[in-house]
Amino acid sequence: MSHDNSKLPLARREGLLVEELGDETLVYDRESHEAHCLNRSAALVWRHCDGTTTVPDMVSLLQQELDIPADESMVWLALDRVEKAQLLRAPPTPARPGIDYSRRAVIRTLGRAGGIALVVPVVTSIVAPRAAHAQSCITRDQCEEGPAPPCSGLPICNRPGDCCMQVDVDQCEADDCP
Amino acid sequence: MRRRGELIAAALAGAWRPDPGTVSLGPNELRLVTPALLRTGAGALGWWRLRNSTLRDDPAALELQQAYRHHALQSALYEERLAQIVAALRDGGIEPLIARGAAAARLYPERGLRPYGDVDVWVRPDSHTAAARAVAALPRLAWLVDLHRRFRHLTRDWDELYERSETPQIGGETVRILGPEDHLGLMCLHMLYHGACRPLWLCDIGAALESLPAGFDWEYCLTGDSRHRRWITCAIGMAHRLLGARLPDPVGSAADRLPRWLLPAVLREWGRSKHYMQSPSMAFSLRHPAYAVEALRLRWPNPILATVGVGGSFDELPRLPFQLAECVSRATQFLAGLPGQPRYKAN
Repeated sequence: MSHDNSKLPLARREGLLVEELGDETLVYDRESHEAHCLNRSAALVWRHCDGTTTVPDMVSLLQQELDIPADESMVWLALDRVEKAQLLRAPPTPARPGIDYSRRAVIRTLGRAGGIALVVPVVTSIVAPRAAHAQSCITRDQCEEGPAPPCSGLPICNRPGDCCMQVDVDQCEADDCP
Repeated sequence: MRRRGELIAAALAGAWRPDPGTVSLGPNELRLVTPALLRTGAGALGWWRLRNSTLRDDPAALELQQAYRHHALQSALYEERLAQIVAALRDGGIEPLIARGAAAARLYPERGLRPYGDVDVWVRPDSHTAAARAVAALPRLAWLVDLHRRFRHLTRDWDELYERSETPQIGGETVRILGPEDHLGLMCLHMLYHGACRPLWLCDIGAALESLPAGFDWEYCLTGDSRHRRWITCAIGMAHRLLGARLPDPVGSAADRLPRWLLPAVLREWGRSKHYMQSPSMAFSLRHPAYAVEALRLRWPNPILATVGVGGSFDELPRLPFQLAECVSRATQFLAGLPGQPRYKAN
């Protein structure tokens, strides 16, 4: 069976920072400044979105590498998730009518296999932790556009003597350091 | 019932190791310490510590896991930027020295475990102006650089620091970092000058102690002023007693003899929801008296900060005189209108 390569999914590679972290693949989009976490199956599909690998090929890859009874619905679910995260350059050809690639359908297919939660393709957003004040200086913009007071009191980078300070009840600005 | 400071110590004990062992926290205790771990940059280490425990699915643990992911990406980005900054300075004929954040992160099993929000770069004093110009020419990176002209806490001269420095690869670039003896000393003193307010700094010391190279020269590390030597050995002892860092033989007995007030002071500091670096400026507080009480409260120096602030000894004498002296010193500076550099900036 021949395939029209122009319609095969093609991953975005430019403008992304990719980090492998254990079983997860982290992707930071330098353009949108969004970060995503792909689990193993989603990452496997995404990595093979090279414009030449077909959906049936991806099914085989999932079956071999994850040792699960994957089918096309699982691949389509993964493609759907990575496309929504804007990690595809060329969106895939729409799935054949009649293929149900909802999460529920994939779980039903995988129901016979163990460790379902680990293999259903998942792409989650990575958000900055609530209070990850890991830094010892911040920019003026970060200070003034950052979260509402109380401000952090961190020094402003490259402005000796200035710190991010609360200057009014609901406003933070670069001001004299304590 | 354990207090928050003790729980933080339990959560971070040995967290710099590839296999940090089991964590002795209950779900409620984890929820109590999670905000503090996140706030102080130790969220990723918290996750690393409990990732194989039954607590891993707790909502609080998932917040720590997000920090772990976030910091992994952030560190990868910062390493790239650090390489660009170093390359730009070298293009200008300046050889920078890197310490603390990026250099400390190398001591951990994964780079994202030890986040840093800026890149501390030291250059020779006579290169500072040129370095500042070179950094300013990097519009997308300049904000990240904290440029220093001297190591405030180290007494050695530049030539010696350079001579003993190392050149590992960070972010694909060969970067010059302080030699292990100087770096350990700097991390210990820097933590004490900040009143040991961030547990992450004590983890750095634990990580450094357990990755000392063969031939680490303790005599050189502890050379100099006897008070500094005592401060450094006490910081090492804190890492041992609070976080379970293994004590190297040459300093074992000295580091294990700590003044009685020291560990409670650290645990109290860790248990606070805010520390002095997060308080409004006194100038602001005077304009907004509603904040003045809190600003003054946060500025009351803890015994560690007060002792090193006035150059005191870590002995069994009461700390109140040191705290009062430190307050007077600061108030005098403030009233004289000469606040100068913030105390915690190393420029």
